[in-house]
Amino acid sequence: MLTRSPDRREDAQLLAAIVDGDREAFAELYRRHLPWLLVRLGRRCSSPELVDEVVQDTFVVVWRSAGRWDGRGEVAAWIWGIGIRRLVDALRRGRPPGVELTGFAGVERSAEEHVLLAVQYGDVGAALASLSPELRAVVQATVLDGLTTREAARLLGIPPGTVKTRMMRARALLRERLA
Amino acid sequence: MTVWHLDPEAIRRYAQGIAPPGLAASAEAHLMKCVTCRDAIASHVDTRRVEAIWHEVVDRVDAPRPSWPERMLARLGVGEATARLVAATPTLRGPWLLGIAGVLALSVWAAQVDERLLRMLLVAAPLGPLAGVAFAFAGGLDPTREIGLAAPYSGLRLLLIRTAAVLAVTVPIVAAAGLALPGSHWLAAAWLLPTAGLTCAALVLTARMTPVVAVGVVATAWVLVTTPTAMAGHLDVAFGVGAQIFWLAVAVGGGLWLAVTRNTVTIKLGRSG
Repeated sequence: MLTRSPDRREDAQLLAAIVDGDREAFAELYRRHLPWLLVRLGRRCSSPELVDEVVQDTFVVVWRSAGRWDGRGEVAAWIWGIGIRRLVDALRRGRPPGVELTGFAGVERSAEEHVLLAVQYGDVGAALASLSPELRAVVQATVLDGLTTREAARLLGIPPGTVKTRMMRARALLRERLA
Repeated sequence: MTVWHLDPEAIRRYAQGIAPPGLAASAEAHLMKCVTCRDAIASHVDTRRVEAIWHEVVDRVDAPRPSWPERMLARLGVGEATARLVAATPTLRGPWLLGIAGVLALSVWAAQVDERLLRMLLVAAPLGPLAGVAFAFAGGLDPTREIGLAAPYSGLRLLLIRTAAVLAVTVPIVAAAGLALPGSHWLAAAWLLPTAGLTCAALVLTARMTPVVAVGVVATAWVLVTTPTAMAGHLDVAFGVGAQIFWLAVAVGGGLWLAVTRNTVTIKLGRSG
C-alpha cells in the first residue's frame, strides 16, 4: 500500500486532493512526511509508544482538516505545528513519571565535536551550543519549534514563568556571545 | 530548491537521535524546506513501524465519526457507551424537537387569545416531556431496540439515562414556552413538579408494563383528572400548593422505590421482554 510508483504531485496539491477524500493522496503525504515527523517528535519525547500515538493522531487530524491549511508556507511546517501541539496535549494529559526529554539534555559531546560544530555552523551554532541544556531546551521549544510560552512549559514540564525567565537569560547570553 | 543538503552522515546521526544539539537544530530547520533530505530520513526509520502506524491511522479514518451531541457529551465527561445511548434516543432528534417547539409556540399564541386555552396549556405541558420519554422507547422508532433487548445491560439504567436525557432537553423548551405566557410567572413553573411526579409514576409502572403503555396510563389519568377541573376554572386542584406537595411526594416516593428495588426489578423495555 505504501510502496507504489512515486506520485509527482506537490504537497499542496496532495492536501487539496485529501479535502476531496483522495485516499491515494493521503497515503502519499503520509509516506513523505511520517519519517521525519517520527524522528523529530522522537527527539522530544523518550517514549516511542507515546510518539507513535501522537503521530497517528496528527495524521488523523491532517486527513480531517486538510481544508484548514491556509496555503501559505510549507505543508511540512503545518504538519509539524499539528504534531508538536498534539505532543504537548498528550504530555499534559498524563505525564508518566520517568518520562524525560531527550531534546537537548544528556547528549554527550566530545570537545573535538564541539569545535567542529562551532566551525561548521558558525557563531550562532556555537553560541547556542554554549548554553546550558535547560536554556537551550527553552530556546528550541519557543524559537525553533514555534511554541507559545504556555505550550513550551507543558512540553518541558516546567511552569510558564520559568520558561520566560530562562528565555530572558538565554537571550542575554546569546546577545553577549554574538556581540 | 535549496542547493545545500545535509550530508548522509548528518542525516544518519540525526535520525538515530545521536546528533549534537546544534546539528539537530539546523537539520530540523533545513528539513522543513527540503524534500530531498526529508526523503533521505525515511531510510533510517523502521518500515514496520511506519506500516503499523499507517494501519492505525486508516482504521481511525475509516471509523464513523461520533455525532456532534456525542462528542459534546464525551467532552463533559460522559462515558462513550452512555453518550452513544443518549445520542441514539429517537426523541432527541431534530425533527421531533422542532415538532414540540412548534406545537408549543402555537399553543402559547392561542393562550393569549383565549384564557381557557391557557389552562389547557398547563394541563398539556407535562405531557410533552412524558411523550418524549414514551417515544424514546417506542419499538418502531428506537434504532437500538433490538440490541437493547439482547444486550446484558441494566434495563433500569437504560430507562433512567434516556429519561434524564429527554427531560434535560424537553423541559427547557416547555419552560421557555411557559415564560412567554401571559399572566403571573409562577404559572410558567407550576407544571414542573407535576411533570416530575408523573414521570416517576410512569417509571415505577415500567416494572409492570412497557414504557409506552406506562406513560399512556399516567398521561390518561392526568388528563382525566385535571381537564374537568381546569376547564371549570379551579386550577388550584391541579396546580395549587397542596397539589404541588402531592406531586413532590409522588416524585420522591417513586425515586425511592426505584432506588430500593433497583437490583430486583425487571424493566420491560419491549413487548417481548
